[in-house]
Amino acid sequence: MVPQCFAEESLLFEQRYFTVPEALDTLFPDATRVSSESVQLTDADIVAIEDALGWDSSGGAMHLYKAYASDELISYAIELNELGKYFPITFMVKVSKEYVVEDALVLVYREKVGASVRKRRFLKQFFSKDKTHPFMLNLDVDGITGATISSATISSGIKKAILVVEQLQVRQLKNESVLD
Amino acid sequence: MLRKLHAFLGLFSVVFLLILSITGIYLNYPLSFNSGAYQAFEQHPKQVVSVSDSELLLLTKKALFSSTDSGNTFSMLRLPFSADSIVSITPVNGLVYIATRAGLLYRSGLTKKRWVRVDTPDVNEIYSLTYSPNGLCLLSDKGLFIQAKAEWALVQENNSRIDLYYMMKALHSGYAGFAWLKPLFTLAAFATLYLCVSGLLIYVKSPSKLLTKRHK
Repeated sequence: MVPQCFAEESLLFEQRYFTVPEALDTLFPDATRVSSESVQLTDADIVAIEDALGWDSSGGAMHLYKAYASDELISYAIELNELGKYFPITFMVKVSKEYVVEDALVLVYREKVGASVRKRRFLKQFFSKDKTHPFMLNLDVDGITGATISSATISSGIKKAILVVEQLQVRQLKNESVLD
Repeated sequence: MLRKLHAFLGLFSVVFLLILSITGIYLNYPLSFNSGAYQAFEQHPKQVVSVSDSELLLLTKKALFSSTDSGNTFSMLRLPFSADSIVSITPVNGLVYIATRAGLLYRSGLTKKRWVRVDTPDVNEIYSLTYSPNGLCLLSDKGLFIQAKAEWALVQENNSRIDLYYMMKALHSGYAGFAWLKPLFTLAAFATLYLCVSGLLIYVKSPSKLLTKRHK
């Protein structure tokens, strides 16, 4: 079976744990405003991200959210769709202004097995990690038995989330400096 | 008599129960006791593969390392999967393929490592991957597949009977569909530790009580 990024048929095992508004409420309880934008990575962005990751980062829709408290930016969150064994796992990663993982939530899980990756006890090991960490199973991340592929997908996806947020902000700062 | 037999048998088995519980807790949470070392020869190296004239890949229990100076220095490669799950490292015409136990296959160029997931047949477990003049040969739980012109063809189906030893081992380790029981296994291990220690204390106390009674 060829892995499908976005299956067209209805998925028997699909579990929705959070809607996007619920996830944002959970991740940003103190925010007064959350802005949302669809992320379009340029070829240069993808090259920079893949150089830092060491693996292919193409594919999957992304949404970036910025949370503000009294008009001051407090954190970012990014919604990613990363391929598990057959289907994408939709999850959201909260990243601080210093590009450190603060929280993560699995929104939709579509595989038959491995839904345990949504659990707090698995996800909390990523908190406080930044891009300098390897994010590799059995090295600095404890995978879940019976959910090896999903654990690796979440782990590599969270590292990608940090790099995407950083890359987008670096690009935005560059654009702003050119305009100035 | 029965009481004494119970006490002696308990004393005999307490050592094994202590070993079982302590090792069980460790195996449930190995990373909690991780040394944190990222050096190639501090991570139990287990396989070395020459992927080109100038490059060696060294597989350890926790990571994959590359050396371009005949093994004098190694640098860790970034991987989107666990190094522990690697079953084969196969160099093919300027590319290197890595097969993982969980049934996924990755490919990268040699000069710049960038792992890309490659389509594989729908298998649960890959046992090995090799290259023949006919193409990539993949041995899996479903059988032997050969890739020709980017398509995988099942050459031999695996009709082996269920491996009872493998199943029993998985069941004994608590991994055969019971991974969700991990916290309960940990609790049971702590309970066993408590039972052993309290049992030992009771055993040590009883003769001392007897002695004081005799003195009286």
